[in-house]
Amino acid sequence: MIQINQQDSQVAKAWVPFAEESFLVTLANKGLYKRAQKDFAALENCTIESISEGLKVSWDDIVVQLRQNVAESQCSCPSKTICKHILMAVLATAQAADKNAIQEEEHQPQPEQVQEDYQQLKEAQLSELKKKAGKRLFEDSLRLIQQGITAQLTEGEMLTATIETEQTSVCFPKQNSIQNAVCKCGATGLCRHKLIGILSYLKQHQLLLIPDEEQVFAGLSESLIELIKLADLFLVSVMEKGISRCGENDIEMAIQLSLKFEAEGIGNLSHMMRTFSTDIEHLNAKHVAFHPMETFALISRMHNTLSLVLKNTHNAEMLSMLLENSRSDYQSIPQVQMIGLGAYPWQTRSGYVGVTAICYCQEKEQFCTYSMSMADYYENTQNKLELRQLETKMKQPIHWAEDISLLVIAKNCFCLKNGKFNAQNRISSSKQTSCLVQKQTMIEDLQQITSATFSAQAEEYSYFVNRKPEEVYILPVEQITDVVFDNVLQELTFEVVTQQQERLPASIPHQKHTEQAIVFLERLSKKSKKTPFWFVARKRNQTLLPISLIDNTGVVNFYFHS
Amino acid sequence: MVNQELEQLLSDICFSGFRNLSAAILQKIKRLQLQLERLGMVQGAEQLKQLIEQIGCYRRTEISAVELADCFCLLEFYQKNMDGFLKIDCFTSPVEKKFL
Repeated sequence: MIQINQQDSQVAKAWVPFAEESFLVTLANKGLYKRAQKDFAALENCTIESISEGLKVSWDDIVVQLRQNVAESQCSCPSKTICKHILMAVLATAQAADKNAIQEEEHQPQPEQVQEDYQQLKEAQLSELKKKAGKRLFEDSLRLIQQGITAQLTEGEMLTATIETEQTSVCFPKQNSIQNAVCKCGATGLCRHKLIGILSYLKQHQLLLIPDEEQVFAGLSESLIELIKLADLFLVSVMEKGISRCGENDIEMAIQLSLKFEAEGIGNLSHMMRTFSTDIEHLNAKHVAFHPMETFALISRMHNTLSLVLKNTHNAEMLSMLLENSRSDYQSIPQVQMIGLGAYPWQTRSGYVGVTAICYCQEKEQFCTYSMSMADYYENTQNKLELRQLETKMKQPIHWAEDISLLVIAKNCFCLKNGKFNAQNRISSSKQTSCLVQKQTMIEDLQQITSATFSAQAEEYSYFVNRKPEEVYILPVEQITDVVFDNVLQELTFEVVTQQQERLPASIPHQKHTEQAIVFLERLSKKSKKTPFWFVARKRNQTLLPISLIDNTGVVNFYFHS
Repeated sequence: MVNQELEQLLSDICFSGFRNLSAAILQKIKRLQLQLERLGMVQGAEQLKQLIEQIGCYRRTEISAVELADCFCLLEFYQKNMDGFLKIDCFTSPVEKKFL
């Protein structure tokens, strides 16, 4: 029997929503809730009185002080966290309030609700949340929301936000939703999970107004302006004497400028200078990789960029369009499911070789890449471009905490914990990342992937283009036809006939690391028995550039021998 | 075709250098300028005419290599965007609009 006076029963009404199973399970755990329910049913006498901080619920030798923020309630028992007595007190309070409410309904009308449901959530200001949670926690949570990792919201007596990637949930009551929110992690203040829940709610109700990002290049320092002037003068001197007269000194100068730009955080200019130094090396070595038109275009573009930057040293908007960071920051995501889709080798003009694995992140619904690379301009690394060397590197178990190989990443579905992703969807090789391989990637796994529709139309040209993540296409293929090797252009061209009978142009340029792929595709076109398979491909000059093939045996990395 | 010729010409100039421009290259620039005029590509023709003048001034040391490089690289920018150049609003970014 619950003893409570009329006045206190009015106060007790505030705890009625908290008597929901989902809320109490989140507050404690299922086992404790069941125990509390059982013990509450056996409870004989219980007294409820209102006190300054909330309610005092007592029975036998137990005294529970119930607060509006239930997580802060206290019990006289030795337990330091939420105990079964607190849960029992909530159940008792709710039952007492309900009984009196039934009696009152007969005599007087219900008072009007003070606040609209979840009003605090709807009116949440991002600046206030940032202040309470701290800048770093707020920005981390906001980035997760922007990347599409949101909480699942279920509305009942309370709003429950379930965060799958963190395997936790948050309950928001209808009144004082943020203040009285309870998280399964047990944190009393504004924790990361509560933040994600609030931001997910705002996003779902289209109330999320993200403030403008702070511009990275708000203004240029004196030292950077001097460096830019020096680089521009260097380029003008090259144009003056001619590319044909560039020698070791110019290579050295370009490398020095590249390193200085890198130190200043200007990624695109550093990259271009390094490319220019490699071009001059190729010229001096009479290497076939030297293309005078490409080098000229590079010099001209650098000069145009630098002269525009010098004319707009305080125009943050222009600077952010002309200059790029060396690399964007990596953000950690607690847990994601990835599907490995193959790997391909590459070489850049700026002097790097490597292998990249393409994966699909199911939570972000985006393609991500994981690469290993090395510089090929050192004397002892110049043979690294050999395919066999790259294959050996690919099989080395050196990645992430479990030391798995890039080959395993490219061919399997896996769960990534504490994976770090940047704005270009590149995955970090941090040893803090843990990878749990689940199974081999098969054709059935491709059904859950949404990829863009390939179009052979040329993309709109933009001179001062910033690097964007490449589009990846997943295509169900019936056969490949019209396979021709163009000796003039030195590329293999063919047509991909999809299962929808669409004919798409494809090509692979002939380079040292694509020879194996060309041989494979020529043989594939001649095979009489046609089994269904899928191509994973990128776009190259308005044609498809295949990366790998997925058939009933799994992922086939045809750029490599094994 | 004109685009490719212009690109080849500019590449040749860059390869040999401003100091080492032969008479043949200057004649090519002139010929291309007249060709663009006949085709109605006024902007391109005007830019080529300016390049010829600037080369002359540079040789007489009336202007520095920086000014000549500015004119030269603007022509390269024009060549790269030749299709969109005629309708200036086609440019997607404010950077390109401001550059012109």
